[in-house]
Amino acid sequence: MAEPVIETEEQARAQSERFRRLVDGLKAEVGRVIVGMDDVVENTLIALLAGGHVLLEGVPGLGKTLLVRTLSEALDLKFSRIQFTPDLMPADITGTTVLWEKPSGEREFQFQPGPIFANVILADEINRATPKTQSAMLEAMQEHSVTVAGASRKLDEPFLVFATQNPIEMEGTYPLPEAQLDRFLFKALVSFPSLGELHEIMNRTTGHTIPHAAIVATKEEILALCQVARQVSVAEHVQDFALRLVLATHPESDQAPESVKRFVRYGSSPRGGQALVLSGKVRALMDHRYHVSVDDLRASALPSLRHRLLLNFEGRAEGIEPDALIEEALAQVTRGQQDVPV
Amino acid sequence: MTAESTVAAGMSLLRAPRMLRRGIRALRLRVRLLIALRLAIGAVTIVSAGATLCVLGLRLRGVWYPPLAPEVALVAAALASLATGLLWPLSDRLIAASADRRLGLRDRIGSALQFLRAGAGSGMERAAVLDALGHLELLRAREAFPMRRPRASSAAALCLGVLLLSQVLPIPPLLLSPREREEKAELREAAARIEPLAKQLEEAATQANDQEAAQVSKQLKKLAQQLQRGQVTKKQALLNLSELEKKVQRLDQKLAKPKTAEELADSLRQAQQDSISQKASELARQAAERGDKEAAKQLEQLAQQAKQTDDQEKLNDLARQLEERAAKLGASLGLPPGLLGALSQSLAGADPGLSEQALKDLAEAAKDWPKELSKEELEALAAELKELSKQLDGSDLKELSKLLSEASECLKSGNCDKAGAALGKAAKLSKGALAKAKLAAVCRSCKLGLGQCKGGNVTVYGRGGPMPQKAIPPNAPGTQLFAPRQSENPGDLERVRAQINPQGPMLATTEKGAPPTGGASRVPYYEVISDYSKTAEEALAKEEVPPAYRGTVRDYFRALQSGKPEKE
Repeated sequence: MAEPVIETEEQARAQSERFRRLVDGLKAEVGRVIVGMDDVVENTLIALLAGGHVLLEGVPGLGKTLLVRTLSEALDLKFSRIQFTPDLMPADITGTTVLWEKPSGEREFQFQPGPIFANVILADEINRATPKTQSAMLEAMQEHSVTVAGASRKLDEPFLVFATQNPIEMEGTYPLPEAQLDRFLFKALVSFPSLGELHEIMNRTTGHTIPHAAIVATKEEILALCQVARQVSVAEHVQDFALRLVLATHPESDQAPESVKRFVRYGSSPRGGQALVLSGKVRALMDHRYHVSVDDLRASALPSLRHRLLLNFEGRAEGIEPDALIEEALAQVTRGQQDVPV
Repeated sequence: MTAESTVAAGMSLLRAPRMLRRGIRALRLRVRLLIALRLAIGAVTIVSAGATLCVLGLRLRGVWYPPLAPEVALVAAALASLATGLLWPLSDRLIAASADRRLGLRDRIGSALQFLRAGAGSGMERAAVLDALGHLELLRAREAFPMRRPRASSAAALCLGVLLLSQVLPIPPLLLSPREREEKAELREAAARIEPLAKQLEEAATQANDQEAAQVSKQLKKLAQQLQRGQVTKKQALLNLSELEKKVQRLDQKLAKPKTAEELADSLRQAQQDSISQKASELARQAAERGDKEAAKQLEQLAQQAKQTDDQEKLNDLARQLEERAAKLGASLGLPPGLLGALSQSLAGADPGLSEQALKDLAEAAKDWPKELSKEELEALAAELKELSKQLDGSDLKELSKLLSEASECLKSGNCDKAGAALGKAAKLSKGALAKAKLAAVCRSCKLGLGQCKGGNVTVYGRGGPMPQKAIPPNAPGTQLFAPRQSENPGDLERVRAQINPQGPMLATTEKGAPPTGGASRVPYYEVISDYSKTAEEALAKEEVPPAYRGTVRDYFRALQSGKPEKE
């Protein structure tokens, strides 16, 4: 499908309407399978439409895998699951070249693609793999391509990685390097469901029928809508807010609050700003708007930045949560906004 | 997309900058008004607090300050801050961002503003602009920036209240020095004296329907109030009092009706003087208009002479000259000034026949008025008669006043015959009425009844020349100043201390309470009283009479003339 370039306001309205219909349909279909987790579902959808990867953090059994699988079902995308273990090798992910004998008896090397050659990848318990294996994901996540035996192979679009990690099982895990963390658009925290939600989960999963999501959009439609989202306008002062927020996470910045200066070692990279703006654009379209607002950025601030803040020893020792620091940075930047004196 | 919708959208986008500017302008005006209000309230708070301190300081030190200075400062500060607020620099972007935040517009206006400035090239930007305009049209400035009561308003109200109280409330005596307390007490006493005077003046003003008197009475009341509250300094109070006193004196003269025959005579003489002066000036103007410069000059001189003289004979002479001039010029004089002079003279003791003759002449002349006088001249004459009637009203010449008033009304309605008849009646009545009035005025003073009075009997003694008090023996005889009749039964001798003159203290001896004695004189009392009074005045001026005693003499003659009992 050709990338739609929106030239007139009528086109903008039409594309925006189409975008909202798709998002509403996706939400409805996901909602048939997934109970609760509204924030996580919304952030996942935003990441999907912004073309970004999501790191889902939560204890086992909360439905992370089900969420990703449901999403891929609703979008009619090729789904692939990689269970990360300490003995998983990079080739197990990317694929490898094997010696292949033709019917004529002639032998040749042929590339056997790994599970990464899919549209939606579920990298389950990604922090259980060794850094070497984890790094196999770096190129794929950033460049949407893999290089095997000196040959670079393009991955099919859309390429989305939904990684999960278990926060409590620290034994035998390898924390994700900052470079890899930075490649995730969002880090979503999956919390335990409430009593009501648990009841609903029991009702849905222990009956004689298991709900499944219907296909809402094709791969091409998703790609087209990703392009629509990227064309949403951002005013200078809104973008300025995003960048001030990114700067406010840096301890050496004048705009950083005291807590950031005290507990943060490294702040967000520019990718944090990109994540804020991109996710803001998707949120704007979801909210029937054609421009990004500061409120969109505020809503995206925690999932976009929480995995990009590297705490110093004092911060870790004090048990400081990055979310609290981001909230303070937000408050600091909001205070810096000019207002009329009435 | 249809062609029509494209054109409509294009038109909207063309109008978008103007619409956006207009919307932002309305918002900016609202914000500036709110800023101005806040600044004004702040300024009023600060200035009133400062002014309160200044006022208290000045009042405690007894330093005078312009009474409205704090209010003027407040108004100036409020106006200055209002002007500052209305000119407060506010960028479009700031207004738009603030409105977005306050109304939860999610940066619609601010973004649209920026997209428009950048040209709104993409479809998304245009859509955002149109979306923002849609919201802006529904937006009300008062919703975005509602009028809330500023926090400082309570403080401002409090400060204003304190300022007003600091100006109005009297300073507690505890905070004043003994000298200041004494001064305040004096001022309060003065206020107590002024208040009844103001009331009297107010009543008189209401009766006479005199605006000036009403105004002066208000000023007096205000001054009394200020004195009572200690709102004016002693110096200021004295200045104000002095000014008001002059006005009151003038009003006294203006409002007071002549009660005695002599006062009425004076009043009529004054009226004659004014009448001659005014009419001569008017005739001079008419003569000048006709080109008769000589006559105009002579008439001007006549007017000047009338103004300068108090002598009745001279005034009568001038009145005659004026009548002759008027006859030569063929102009109407209205009420002849001679009539006023004749009435005045009759009241002063001259032959009442003068008035009778003057009124008769006027009644005779009334026959020719329909031919000689225009409607306006008749009305003027009627007004003059009315004025004369008013002057006589309230005195012993009420009947005469009524007839003159009747004549005036007849003239107003154009009935000259009837007016002439009324004037004729007045002429007949005048002789007896004037004589009675004179007699009644005189006899009121002696308590014996009309026609029974033969005059008071007071022997006056005094001691001439400066003399120390101890050098005067208690029974030392005084110098006889004026004694028309010697009293048979002496009264009680009383020594009075005279005022201290440059030569030293003086004593005088007076006899009071001597009973009246009958004399041989057959001259009516009212005919000689003015002569006697005049002689006494001359004697007082020439002889070395103690000043305190002069008052007694004057009181005596005044009592005789006004019909009041002798002051004891």
